[in-house]
Amino acid sequence: MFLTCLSLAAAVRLAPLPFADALASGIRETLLVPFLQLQMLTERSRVRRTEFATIVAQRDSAVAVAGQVPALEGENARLRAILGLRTRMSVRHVAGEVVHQSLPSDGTTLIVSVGAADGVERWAPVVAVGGLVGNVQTVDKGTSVVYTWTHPEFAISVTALDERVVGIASPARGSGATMMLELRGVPYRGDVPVGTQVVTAGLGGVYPRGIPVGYVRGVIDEREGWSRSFLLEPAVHPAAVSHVLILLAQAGDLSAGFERP
Amino acid sequence: MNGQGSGLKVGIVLFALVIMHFTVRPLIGHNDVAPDFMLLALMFYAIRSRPGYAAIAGFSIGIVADALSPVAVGSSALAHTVVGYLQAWGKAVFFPDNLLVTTGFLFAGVWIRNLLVLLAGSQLDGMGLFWAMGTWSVAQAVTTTVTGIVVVLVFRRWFKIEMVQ
Repeated sequence: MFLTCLSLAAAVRLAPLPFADALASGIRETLLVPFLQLQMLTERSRVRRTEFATIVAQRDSAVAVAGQVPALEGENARLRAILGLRTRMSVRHVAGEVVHQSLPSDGTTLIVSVGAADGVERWAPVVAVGGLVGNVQTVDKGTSVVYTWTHPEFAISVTALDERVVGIASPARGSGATMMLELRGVPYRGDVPVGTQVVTAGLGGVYPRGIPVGYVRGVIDEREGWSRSFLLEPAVHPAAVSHVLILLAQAGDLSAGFERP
Repeated sequence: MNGQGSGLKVGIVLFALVIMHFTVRPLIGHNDVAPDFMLLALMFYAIRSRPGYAAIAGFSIGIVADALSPVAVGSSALAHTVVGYLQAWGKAVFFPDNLLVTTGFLFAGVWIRNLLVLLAGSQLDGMGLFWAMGTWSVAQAVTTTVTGIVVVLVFRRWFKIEMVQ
């Protein structure tokens, strides 16, 4: 029985990707539906508890500082920053909760609580408050699977410094187990200072232009006279994301939608 | 207590662990560190069953885990099958109804599962694998083991695990 199970598991592992995806999708849409619903309910109740605590704190703060206009303005600015991303998005989108899982591979793929019923389609870009998270790979009726930028096959066309620098960003390992991004193919003459924001270039028709991808941390490779590679600090760490926006349009410029930290 | 009644009670605990995986786990701290209740249920089942049945249970839970985290579908099924089988096989070699041995079984089970998932999925290598296995996996193994021990202590009469040695 052990060898049979082992062979079956190996066969699934080696099976073509469409078959494996269909199998995983089938399990999610049948056996796992009640369990995923339970987990989403838990996530929502957690968010509501946090919101309730925030509202109570805000009420207490409001009572304490009533009449102090500068303090209220500060509070107002903070709340606007929290809600800002959604209101600043200039393209159609849906918001979803991330349903994290226990495997060490969590963060490479994410299950999000919105699916085909909400208008989500394959390849839809996924963003969070800081910037790019990834794109939708599998769409079920009520959930979607997102491949994040940490996925080994992820690569994206990016730009920086008002399009003076263009290259390809893909996942790279930082020190230890930290996932970073590598910006490749930057012409040798193109100097990119540390701290420069790198955003999506909008090429390829998948991602709109202007979504922050990362920030330059230094040069990691130089091919003399040809090109340089830069290490990027990611704008968003997928494993730490609890809510995302899935964009329902893949064109446009979202530069104004994100604020630089 | 007859065997059927005991099995039913253990079954209730295992089902409760599966439910807790989807309801309690999201509320506990960092996702990489939070205990894996579903793996815990598998390991409790495995150390009380034959290796073949434990392998089937491992494959079933693994394929479910693959559906939830579909980076490399099949890697989790493979890892859980091996862990389920090893836990059940270990019962024959070691003495499982003992708290210390159970602690070792649970810790090793989580750590080996994570190692196999990462290796079978070809997700990490070199220093990345070393760091992942030396930090997050150890942390998750500790939290899962502690949770498992609490479960054993609360339900020790149902699990028939001794408290000493």
